[in-house]
Amino acid sequence: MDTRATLSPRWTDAWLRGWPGLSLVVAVHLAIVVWAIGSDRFLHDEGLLTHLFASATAQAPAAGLFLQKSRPPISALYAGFAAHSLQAFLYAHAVVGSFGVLLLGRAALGMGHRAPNLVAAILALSPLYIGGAAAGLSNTDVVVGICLCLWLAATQRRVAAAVVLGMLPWIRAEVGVLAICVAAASLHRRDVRVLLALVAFGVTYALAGMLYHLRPDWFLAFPPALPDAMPGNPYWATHAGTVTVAQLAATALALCPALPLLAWLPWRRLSGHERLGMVFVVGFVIALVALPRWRVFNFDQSPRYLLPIVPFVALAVGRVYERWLEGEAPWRGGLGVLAGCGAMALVAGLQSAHPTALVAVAITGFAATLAHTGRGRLAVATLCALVALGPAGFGEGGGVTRQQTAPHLDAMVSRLETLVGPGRRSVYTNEPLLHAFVRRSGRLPGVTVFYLVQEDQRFELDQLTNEANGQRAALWAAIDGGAYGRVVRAGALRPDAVPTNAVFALSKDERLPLVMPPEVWDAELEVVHPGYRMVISQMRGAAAR
Amino acid sequence: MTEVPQKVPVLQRWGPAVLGLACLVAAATLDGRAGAEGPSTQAPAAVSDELRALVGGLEVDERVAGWAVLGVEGPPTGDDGAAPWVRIDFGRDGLRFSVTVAPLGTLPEGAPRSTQRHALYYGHPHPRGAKIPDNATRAILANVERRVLAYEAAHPAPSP
Repeated sequence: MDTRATLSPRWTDAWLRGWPGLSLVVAVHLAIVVWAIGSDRFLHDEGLLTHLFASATAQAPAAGLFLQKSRPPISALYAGFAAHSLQAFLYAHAVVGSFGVLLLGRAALGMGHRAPNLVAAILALSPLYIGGAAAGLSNTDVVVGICLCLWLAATQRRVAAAVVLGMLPWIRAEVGVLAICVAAASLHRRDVRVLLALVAFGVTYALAGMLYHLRPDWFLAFPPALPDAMPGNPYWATHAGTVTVAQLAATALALCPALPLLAWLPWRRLSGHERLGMVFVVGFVIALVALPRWRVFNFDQSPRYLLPIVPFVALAVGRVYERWLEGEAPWRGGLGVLAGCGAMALVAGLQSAHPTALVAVAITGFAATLAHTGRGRLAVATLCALVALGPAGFGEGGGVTRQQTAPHLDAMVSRLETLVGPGRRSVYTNEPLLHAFVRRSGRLPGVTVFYLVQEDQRFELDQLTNEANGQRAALWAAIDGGAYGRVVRAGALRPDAVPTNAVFALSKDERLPLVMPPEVWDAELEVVHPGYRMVISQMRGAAAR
Repeated sequence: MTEVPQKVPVLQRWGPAVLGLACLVAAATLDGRAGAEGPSTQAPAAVSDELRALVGGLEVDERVAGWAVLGVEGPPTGDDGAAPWVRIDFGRDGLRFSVTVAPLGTLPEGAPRSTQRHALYYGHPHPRGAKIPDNATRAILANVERRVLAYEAAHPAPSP
């Protein structure tokens, strides 16, 4: 049914373009994220890492800010909150994430979208964006940065947009691909101001860093990430770096359930920024899916790396909405592309016995028929329902829930409760979530969690920091105070330095023998709860003590 | 406000809905299969020799307590983090159900049987909701448990 007769233009303007609609979208997003924080559904080690770098920056500002790995812009932004508590940091992160939604809505308005608040809703309800915002992932911070760039660009502040864009690679290095795309376009247009603005942050940061590091080559000597993995790191021996069709489809839906709608992408309707964005989307997806196969840049196949495409996908989907609302004839090839999506969804369904991708393609198909038979509003409403289903129905592929990253955590804590009881005990672990999980849930109140720093973590921090100017020592001092629990470095982990009644709660990790050599520890530990994903042991004779 | 659409060919008008319907039918079929086979989110793969040894080398068509082994499957290939679970499908007279053996701590608590290192579960009856006789599940679980115990005795627990 077409709702034209019942909706006044003023009403639709308020909800599709005005502040009431945008405020509602932002409020819904924030409410979901705050609920998720409270439930610890998305407690994630990378989010705790963002918190760790921010608190280290609060304790040792210069050392933290001139560690490129620390994501200096967001470490500075969150330092005050992180120094207060993990909870304060997570709430601050949620608020920043909701700003991204607000900025994208205003950017879409500035680009002349007919329903900009629906564009904002696509980001607000992206299952992976919600998960990342609740977890404290830097991946959502970079999305906020992209939305800020888009808003600045849409409001004709292209130099400011370029300055912000130039800063983003220091939050997530992979977004350098977008900066390169914009630099290439600016070079083509001979836009010198934008080119200079793009490098402004990097140059300023590099010069300031020279004063701190007292060496001109610090930028290259201490890069933001290791160009190659630690030699002999067993982690990579067990990770193939490849991805299946089912995983790809699940990731796509977790990013945006309305993704199949891009079958009818109206290229000619896109603004220059949107076109550049789509070029980035294609290049970025190909790079991030293909590069881990060859271990280039030392990263894996985590779906969260693909979050930066969501603002551009949302804008493109918004243009399809627009086309439908205006009753414009569809692109004839769209049906073929949707059929391709259907085939991919079928393969994914057969691989995973999970039909969610097929459902998304089906709803998109029905919506398209509604649009192509003159029921544009109903078609858009159908697609909005699909997007709204996202957080509940399509989040599985995001891979950021606690149940996915540490499925054994609840069982680990339950077994520790049985073993340790309410008494005071030291628990040594390589599980980064254990400390935060027990503190936030109030379980194991008498336990002190000691985190075993893994060898590749130590190697990375040592390689990326400057020993000569005291940066390395300052950061270790800040981290020793508390990172995933009280920190124990490999050198300090000896049987004679561990309390005789200590418990070891160890997650399955190929790297563990590097810090707990079996020839040293096998004789010292008695396995209390054997298992595959985790083993709980205690010092021999502890039970008798 | 929705504009009057321009002339759209029949294929473009109804093709997406037909495709959508086909996808829905496929989804319903897959969902039914998933219901019968279990809640796995990834397709299981043929089981490795090592995992087959965990269940005493059970093979398809072998009989256990009068029930036929219909399949022995393990974690999907490419799932690096998957625990080495084994699922055995049993069938008799049109009834089917599965027994899963998983390392302790990898699946929710409450396994009906467990050994020192493994938990044994049963479920996924087919047709849905069918009642599997208690004596059958008891006998089959006991048989599988004996196999797992023999495996554990022959393969001591790894170092922590």
